[in-house]
Amino acid sequence: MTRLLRAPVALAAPALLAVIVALVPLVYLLDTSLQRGLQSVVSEIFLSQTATLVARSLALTVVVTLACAIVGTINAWFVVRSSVPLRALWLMLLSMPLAIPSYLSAFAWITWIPSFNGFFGAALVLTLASYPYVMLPVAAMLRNADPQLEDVARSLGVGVFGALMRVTLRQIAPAIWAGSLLVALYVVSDFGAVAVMRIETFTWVIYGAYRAGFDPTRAATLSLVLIAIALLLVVVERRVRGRTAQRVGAGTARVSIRRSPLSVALPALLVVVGSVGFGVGVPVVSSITWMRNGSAINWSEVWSTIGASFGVGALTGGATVLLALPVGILIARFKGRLTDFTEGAVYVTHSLPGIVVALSVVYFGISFARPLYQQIPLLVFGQMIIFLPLVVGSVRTSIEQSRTVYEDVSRSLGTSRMKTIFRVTIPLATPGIAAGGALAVLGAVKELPTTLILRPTGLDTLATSIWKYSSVSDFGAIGPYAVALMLLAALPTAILSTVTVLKVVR
Amino acid sequence: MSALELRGVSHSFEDTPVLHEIGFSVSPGTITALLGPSGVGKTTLLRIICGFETPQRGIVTINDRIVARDGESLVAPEHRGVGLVPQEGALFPHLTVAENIAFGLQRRRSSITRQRVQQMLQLVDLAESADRWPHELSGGMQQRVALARALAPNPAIVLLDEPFASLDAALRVTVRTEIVDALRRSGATALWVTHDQQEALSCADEVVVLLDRRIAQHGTPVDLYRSPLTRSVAEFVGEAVRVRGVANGAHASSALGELSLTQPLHGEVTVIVRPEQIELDDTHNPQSPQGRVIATRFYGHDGEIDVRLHNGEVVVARLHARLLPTVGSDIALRVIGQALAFA
Repeated sequence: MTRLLRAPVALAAPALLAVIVALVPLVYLLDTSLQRGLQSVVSEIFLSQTATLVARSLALTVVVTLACAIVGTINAWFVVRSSVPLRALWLMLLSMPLAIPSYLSAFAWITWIPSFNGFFGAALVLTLASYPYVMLPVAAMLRNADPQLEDVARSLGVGVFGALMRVTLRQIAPAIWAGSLLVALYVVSDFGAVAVMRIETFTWVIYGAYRAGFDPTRAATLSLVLIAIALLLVVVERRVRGRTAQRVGAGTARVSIRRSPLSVALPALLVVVGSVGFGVGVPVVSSITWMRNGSAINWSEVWSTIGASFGVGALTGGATVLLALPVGILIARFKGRLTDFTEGAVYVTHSLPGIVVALSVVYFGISFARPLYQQIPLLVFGQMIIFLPLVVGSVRTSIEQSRTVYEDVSRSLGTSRMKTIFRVTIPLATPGIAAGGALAVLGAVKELPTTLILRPTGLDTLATSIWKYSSVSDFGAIGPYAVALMLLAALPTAILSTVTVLKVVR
Repeated sequence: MSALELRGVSHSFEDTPVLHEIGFSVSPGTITALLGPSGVGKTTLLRIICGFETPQRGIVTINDRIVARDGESLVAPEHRGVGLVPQEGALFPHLTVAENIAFGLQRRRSSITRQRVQQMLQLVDLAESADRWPHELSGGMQQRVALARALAPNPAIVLLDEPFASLDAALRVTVRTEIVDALRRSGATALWVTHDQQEALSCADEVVVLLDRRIAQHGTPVDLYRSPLTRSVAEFVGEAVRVRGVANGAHASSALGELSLTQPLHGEVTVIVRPEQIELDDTHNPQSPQGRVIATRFYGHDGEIDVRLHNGEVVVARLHARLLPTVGSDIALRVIGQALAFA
């Protein structure tokens, strides 16, 4: 049933603001790349160098996405469908790679096994860093999948493994696809791991073009190609997901879930232990070793850096949630042209790598907000652009999941539309809003290129300190910052996985 | 005066008409059932009354105040004074039972509010459950809380949207009785949407039958059952046994014999009687219609038989359980009371 409702101004105004925020990078990219005329853009794109870059980036993306789809799904299955005790703890542990920035894992690996640099090392590190993007949605969907379908398959003469592959896997396919898209976008836009592993992908070359000769046109043109790749990924995922099956009928999901004994789950346990050991163990142990072997630690500097990271993270998280909330509500509840346009604009930025956003905010700052250039507000603004799509997605999904009948009842009880949003819509979406906020804080604490480019002179966050000391190979000095960053990031990660855990454990 | 009045309400979604020229009114303090098969536009009509949809044509009046007219909503949903009890209750999962009931009250922390909540809890017999959470309640209890929540702000009318569709059959009758009792005791006006004719006939003072996007009949349950205006109403409200007949004024001759009609008619007609009007005839009257039992259904308290008459037509008779003949036996029938006939 269509609900053609005009959105209240209190929602439409922030949505418009979000559109403007989201479109800043695109305007910059088009303006800059066209400075030397369309001709030079075209010739830049068709350089053989560019083709090699595209091929290498795509190869890395495909390998990592495939690996994450497999590892993430196996881990999700283990947590939800094996009879392992303390499943909430396992899920939390398995989510922890989210708290570890890819560049930090990359350092840990190449200091441990120096020959690991290059394509293989980058693929390994990125897989270990991003399989949770597949695991979390798959775990949630697996919990809600109807276990009776497997019973039916078994009764029709299909074996345990057959039922798993032919029935269960098909049920959770949408979550695997959605998670894989996140992984692919993450890999395309990752800067840290590829930089440490010295593999020339788009982001690394863009950063080089910006740093070395400051060739903004080349950087902007390459960024456009990067966006094209990212958009392609989004389109492919939509196409494929549109064909996957959804649950039919009103059968309740209250049926208790079937759990396989640990003996059956043993192969999966190997993957789980490997994920935790290599994904969490290696960087954690390395960081602690660095800290022990390092020279005297300047604790006051460490503490002030922690403070800076915390402050920037909290500001970004707060600002992004405040802007994402009205946008998410608008998209979920008020269909119309304004909504479609907002949704499109917000999701276009989803594919933008941090480094591109940072460059566009520099341009925006120099052109329109000179006094704010290299000030905290502009840094938060840049990070907000990056994390807005993620937070909007999280808010929107949880609002769409709650039924509109609650809002109808509230209205019929004499509560106005705006008040209903505060008294019903938002409270019901709290888990999604909390998860969205956690995503933004987590991202802001880990984010490297944006912070490097946009931070005020002299401001060091945990991410930039790690980067600074690693570029002079002073691993002893990295130790305390690395440990602090992982501890700080563990909190939002715990919130994030708890939201999923709530769905999984019950 | 009427609590709710609709006049010439028509509505369509894009190019699909859903409601055509709907008009009826509900008197204060009465329960009216809106009866119709699934997908006939009942829920849309409810949403129109609530104000979530605006009808393209027609007038909606609540407590003698016009709230919507010809594609224009004049009063927002929150100011219409309409209490809504949706399917499955839809209690706010983030609020306790007491907080749910207090939701629509002004100054929610005042002592007047607390009293009102208590009063409502007692009305639906849930005084002990004030601090429980919705997910801790059974389906029937959730429905009662939903009713208490709707009644708390003293609405002009309460709308119940298929409130028991999700309950199992045994529970449904109990909960239905409790809800009707609570409605009667509070003196509230109610419009009750249902597709279950038994529910409509047993609970409502008046029934509005919605068939094929329009109102087929509006009357008391007895009227509707005894004197349906059309064949489709006769067949939708209650079970109908249909035979061909030829009418000559007050009587019609059919395979069920010479039947007296509720309304005089002439020519070829469809005659309709209710299964409980057909009885076994053991008077050995040679004029009685004869037939052979082709199926029996035992329900416990009573039962039904399918009988093939001499001309091949099959009729259903409802009998006391201990009178059920066996399949294959030849029997004689008679019809009690008057029959309906439609041209």
